[in-house]
Amino acid sequence: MRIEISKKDFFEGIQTVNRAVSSKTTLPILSGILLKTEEDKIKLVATDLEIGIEFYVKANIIRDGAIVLPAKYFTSIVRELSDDQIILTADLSNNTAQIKCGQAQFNIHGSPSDEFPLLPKINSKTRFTMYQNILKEMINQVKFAISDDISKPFLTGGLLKFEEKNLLLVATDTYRLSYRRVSFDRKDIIGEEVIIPNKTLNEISKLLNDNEDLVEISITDNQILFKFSGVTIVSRLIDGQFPNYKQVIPKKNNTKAIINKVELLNSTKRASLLAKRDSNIIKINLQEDQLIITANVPEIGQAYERISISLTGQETEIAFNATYLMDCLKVITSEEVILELSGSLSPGVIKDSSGDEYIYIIMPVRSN
Amino acid sequence: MEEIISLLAHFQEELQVLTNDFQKMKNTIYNIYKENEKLKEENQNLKKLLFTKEEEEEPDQEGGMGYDNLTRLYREGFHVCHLNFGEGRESDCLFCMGLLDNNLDEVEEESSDK
Repeated sequence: MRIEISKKDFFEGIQTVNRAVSSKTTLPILSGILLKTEEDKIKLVATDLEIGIEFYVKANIIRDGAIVLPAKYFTSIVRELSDDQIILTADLSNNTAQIKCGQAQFNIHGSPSDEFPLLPKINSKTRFTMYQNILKEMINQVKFAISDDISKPFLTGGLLKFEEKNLLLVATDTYRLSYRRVSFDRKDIIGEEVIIPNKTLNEISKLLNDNEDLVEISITDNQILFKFSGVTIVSRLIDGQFPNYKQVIPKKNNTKAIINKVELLNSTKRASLLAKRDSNIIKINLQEDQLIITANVPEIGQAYERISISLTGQETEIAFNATYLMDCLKVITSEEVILELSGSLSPGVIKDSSGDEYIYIIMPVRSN
Repeated sequence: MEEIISLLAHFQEELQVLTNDFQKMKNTIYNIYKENEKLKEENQNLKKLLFTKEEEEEPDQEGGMGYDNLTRLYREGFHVCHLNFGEGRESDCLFCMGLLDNNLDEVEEESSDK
């Protein structure tokens, strides 16, 4: 095997697939990246058997072949090479590769490519496309609410659900719930729902572009495939039943406030400077036309800030974990947010000003 | 021969005693049986009386009691949602609150219907 490839393109490809390289040492071959020539491209593949990433890079293929190279050394070597053409030659008889760039030359030991697991072929009727920027926004608005409690695996992912005219992504850790809805008109897949692992959602959101290029998604019983911008990601799905999130969304409220998002986020950040020393609890007091944020940490001091709001319903007071509140405010795209409350012990609801497209439910903290 | 006749006489006396004891036991068991029948009947009547009284006084008590028990469990620091039922909780849980709020709504609706 012998190829000539641009360092920049090669490194971009290696970085992309590197996200799926296994950190566990149970199967040593999985700590490597598979390089395989295909027509005028080189295919890079990495997998930890939970998620697999495949990426094609244009290259000048002089001699065909395939080899697995250790990701850790291979990535750092390519990173440090000068921005020049790289000549990679692999001797398949003893599984070693020579990397040459400018005056630098490395010989590294690899593994035979036939030991590397093949990514499963996904052939499913549940196949659809959507804009990359929309999917990225959906994932970013929901992923922080995913639970890391491995004793409840069905909470360690986001629920992707096809409803009539809507596609939903929902996540919860039982203290908060994040729900995002987009219009989606495919009657043939109504009712389908799958739980996508947190790691997969994280990696996809990092790789998706902020433009209107399409991403193709295929779903089978236990796997999901994303194809976009030359990247193919295959991931297993989480088994189990996602809890009934509808039961958690409050149907009524006693207080409704419209608040400027940036002002609320910045005030919360400031109050949190003191509060984070003590469970990060901040108090929010909703009065006639103002919202007062306070943090009181006896051994350090107090924070106090007022924001003008538009309030309907009863005046009330509630305490939240500042981090939970900021998590959602950071990802809401609208200028204003709607805060709906039903007393100081009932869950608070935060929506973007568009209405019900994005809903975030947050459990208050009991404060004295 | 005399010895045999004496033995037979003794045997007859013993039999007489046994028959008397048996009769006593029979009478006692009969009395117990009668008493048991009487008590069963009385218990039945008392149960009937109690249930009619409960239904008349608090017709919606069952739903309210279930809700109260769940609320008490939750307040004592345990999850009541089906995700973590019975597990100790560190802070408030959205799903427990959702369940309790829904139950409360149902109980309120039922009582307002009646």
